[in-house]
Formats: sequence, C-alpha cells, structure tokens
Amino acid sequence: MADMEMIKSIFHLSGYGIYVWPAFAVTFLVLVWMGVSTLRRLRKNEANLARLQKIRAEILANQAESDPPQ
Amino acid sequence: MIHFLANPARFLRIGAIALPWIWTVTAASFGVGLWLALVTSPADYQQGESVRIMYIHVPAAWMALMVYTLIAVASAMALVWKHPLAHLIARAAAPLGAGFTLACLITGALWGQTSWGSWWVWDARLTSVLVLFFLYLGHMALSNAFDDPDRGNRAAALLALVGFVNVPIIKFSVEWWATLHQPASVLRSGGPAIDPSMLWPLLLMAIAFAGYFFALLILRVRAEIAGRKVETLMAMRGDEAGMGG
Amino acid sequence: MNRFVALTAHDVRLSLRHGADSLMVIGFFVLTVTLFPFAIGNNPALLTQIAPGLVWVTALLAAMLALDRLFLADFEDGSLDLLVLTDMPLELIVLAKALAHWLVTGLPLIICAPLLAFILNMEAAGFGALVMALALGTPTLTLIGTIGAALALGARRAGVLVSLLVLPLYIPVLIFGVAMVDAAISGFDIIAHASALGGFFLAALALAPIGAAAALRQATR
Repeated sequence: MADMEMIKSIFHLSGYGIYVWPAFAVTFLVLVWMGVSTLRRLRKNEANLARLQKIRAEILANQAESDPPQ
Repeated sequence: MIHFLANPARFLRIGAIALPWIWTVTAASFGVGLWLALVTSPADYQQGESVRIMYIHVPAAWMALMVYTLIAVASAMALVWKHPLAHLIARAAAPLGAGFTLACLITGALWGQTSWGSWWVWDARLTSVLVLFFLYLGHMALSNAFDDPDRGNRAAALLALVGFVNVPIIKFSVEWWATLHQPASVLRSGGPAIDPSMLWPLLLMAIAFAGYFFALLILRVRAEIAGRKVETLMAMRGDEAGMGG
Repeated sequence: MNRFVALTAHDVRLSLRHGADSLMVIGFFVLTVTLFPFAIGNNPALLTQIAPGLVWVTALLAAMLALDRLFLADFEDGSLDLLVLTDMPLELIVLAKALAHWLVTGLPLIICAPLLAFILNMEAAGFGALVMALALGTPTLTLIGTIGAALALGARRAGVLVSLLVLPLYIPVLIFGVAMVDAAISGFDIIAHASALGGFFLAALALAPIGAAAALRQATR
C-alpha cells in the first residue's frame, strides 16, 4: 500500500505531474521518432544500393560473357 | 579537419569508429542525467516540481539553435567552397533539428502553462523559435521539392543562410525586448547563475541530446551517401541500357 | 533608372492586361472579409474585436496568392535567363518586379481596407492606423515574397512551398501590424509599432533583393 502511495505521488508530483510527465513523454516520443526514421531511411537506402549494385554486377558479367575479348 | 572529412569513404570510416563511443557517452549521460533530473535534484522554491521540465526544455532549445547553426555553416561550405559532403550533412541534420525545436516548443508550452498561466504568448523569444521551426520545415520541403536534387540542395542552402538572421534574434531576444520568457541563466557573460545541483543534470542532459544528435547525424549522412550512390547508379543504368541495347 | 521604370511599367501592364492578379487578389480579399459578418452577425462586439486581425490576415493571404507567379512567366519562356545575364544588376530587376507586384496587389489592398474595416464594424479610431500599417507592411510582404518565389522557382507544388517559406518571415510583420491598429483603437501611441514596421521594410528593402537575386541565379544555372 505504501508503494501505491509512492507511485501515486510520483505521478502527481505536487500537482505539477500533469505538466511534467507529458513533457517528458512528448520529448521521449520525438527522440524515438528521430531514431526510428533515421534507421528506416538508412536501411531503405542501403538495401536499394545493394540491390542495384548486384544488378549492375550481373549486367557487367553478362556483357563480359557476350562480348568476346578483343 | 573539414577537408579531412570531405571524402565520403573516409567520413564513413571515421563515423563507424566514432559511433560506439558516441552511443556510450549518450547512454551514460541520459542515464545519469535523468536520474539527477528526476530523482535527486531539488524542486524550485518558486516553481516547485515543474522546474524539472527545464532539464529537457533547455537542452532541446540549445540543440535547436546548434543544429541550425551547423546547417548554416554546412550551407556556406557547400555554396562557397563546394564541399562535397556539406549538402548531405545539411539535409541529414534538418529533420533532427526540427524534432528538437518541436520538443522545445511543446515542453515550453507545458512549462509556460504552470509558470505564467498561459500555453502560448507572442513574445519575441517564443515567436522567433516558432519561426525557427518553420525554417526547418521549409528547408526540408525545399530540399525535396525539385526533380533535380542538386537544385533542391542549393535552394535549401540559400534558405538556411537567409534564415540564419533568426538565430541571434532568438538568443538575444530576451535581452533586447521585454519578454515573458526568462533571461539566460547559463550561457551568459557572468557565468551560470543556477545552483550546481541543477546545473549538473542540465549539462548532462545537454550532452545526452548532443550525443544522440551526432550519432543519428552520422547514420543519416550514411543514408544520404547511399542514396546518392543509388541515384548515380540509376542514371548510369539509363546510359548503359541505351548503349548496350 | 529608365530601365528600372521601363521594367516595372512592363510588368504592371502585363498583369493588368491579364487582369487576373489584381482582380483575384481584391476579389478574394473582399469575399473572405464579407463572409465574416454573416458568420458572426449576432455579435457585433466580437466582430469589432477581431476586425484588425481579420483584415491583416486576409491581406497577408491575398498577398501570398500572387507570389509564385512572380518570376514564373519569365522563367518558363526563358526571358529570366536573359535577365540574369544583362548588365542591369539582378537585384535591381528584383526590385522592379517587387514594385510591379506591390502596385498590382498591395496598393489595391490598401485602398480597399477602409471599406472592409467598415464592413467589419471596426472602431473609427483604427482606420488611419490600419491604412498606415498596411502601407508600411504590404511592401515588406512583397519583398519577403520575392525570396520565397525565387527559391521555389521550378519546384513541384511551388504555390504551397512559397507560402511555407515566407510564412515564418511574415509572422513578425503580422504581429506588429495588428498591434499597431489595436494600439490606435485603445488610444495608445502607435509610433513604436510604426517604427518597427518601418524597420522591417527597410531591412527587407536592403536584403530581400540580394537573397532573391542569389536564388534566381541558382534557378537559372
């Protein structure tokens, strides 16, 4: 029961809790969004790059086969 | 050092080495900073527990200004000295700066409601920070508004430089005009005016935010470099397809 | 000097001949403002209170309407490339275009403003200040607009983009413009607000052509 009281008082924070905790929550969410969007962009671009490089390597390999050495 | 980092491959190598260190510092600063901010630091005698918002509002504000300055410097390096990575750094930094500015505005509104009884007021500092937020959005929009990405980068760089006049306005607005927002307590000519028990969490959170920013910046620039290579390859595929048949 | 006047006159004549720019701006202004009394008709006191802000916001939006076309016609038919290369300073060319734009959009706005303030039941004490504030503010809006229009030249969705770019810089002009009218209505001195608006105008006059010219050079590269 004492724990419940302590948790409640942390949320309440002498009446300021309703401002303080949303502030921290919003900031946390913004930081998380920044991180997630960065990682997604990085994965997408590097995946695209890998795919294109593979295709290009295949094209060049095919060209090397079909063009006989001079 | 700037020219040292101009080579994309070198930037990536150095970035890869630095990244774990940056993450470590960031995590440690967040951990200790949040502990000090939320648990051990005292409540303010005037503002009570709401002063704890300061530990995220002020670092966010510092980051908002620092990132814009970084973008302005990168823009100058891109336009004047044609530094190859500068445009990419500016592109990568803008969304991060916008995020910090948004966090600053929202936490500021919450704090203002308890301190001043008002969510928003059109005083010089709040207005100029809102302008900063729009400048970030404009930079992001302009960078991506053209079919030719180079044109977008150059236009955004110009916007960044034109808008830089806003940064000293933000910084000195609380000194030049009678504003509701309180004057500087840390970065001022007489040195910090706040108690160490509050200064330490503030500085640690600032370091945490900065570390987080630089880590994400390195990753984003990596993404931009990859994106540019993709564009080049797409263009080349067109040429090769035309030639080879 | 002659070339400056000639360029301005040419642009004004072009806009008037097409009629779209100034008519559209005034039309939008009048229509929007006259809608409000219908919406808030039972509450004339409320109308009086918001009248200055309403007139200003509508003036702002109406000014933004014509901005993306400021350089567009010249850009599309190639004459912008020629203008960039002539020996007349590009900054001066930008000023000429800004003047033409203001004559066709800002000036009609200023002339219509008292009538619309009357429709909105604005207090008599504010009329003079409103006209003066708009006279000081609308040229600034046009000048700031040249930067946005030049930066967004050739972009996709240029109209929205220009608005996004100029809006942050418009906000201070808006704040002081409305405050000036409110001060006059409350009987306070308006010299401080007028000075601020005047300061914005001078700063824009000096700096906007430089920024816009740089952006135009980028666009034609």
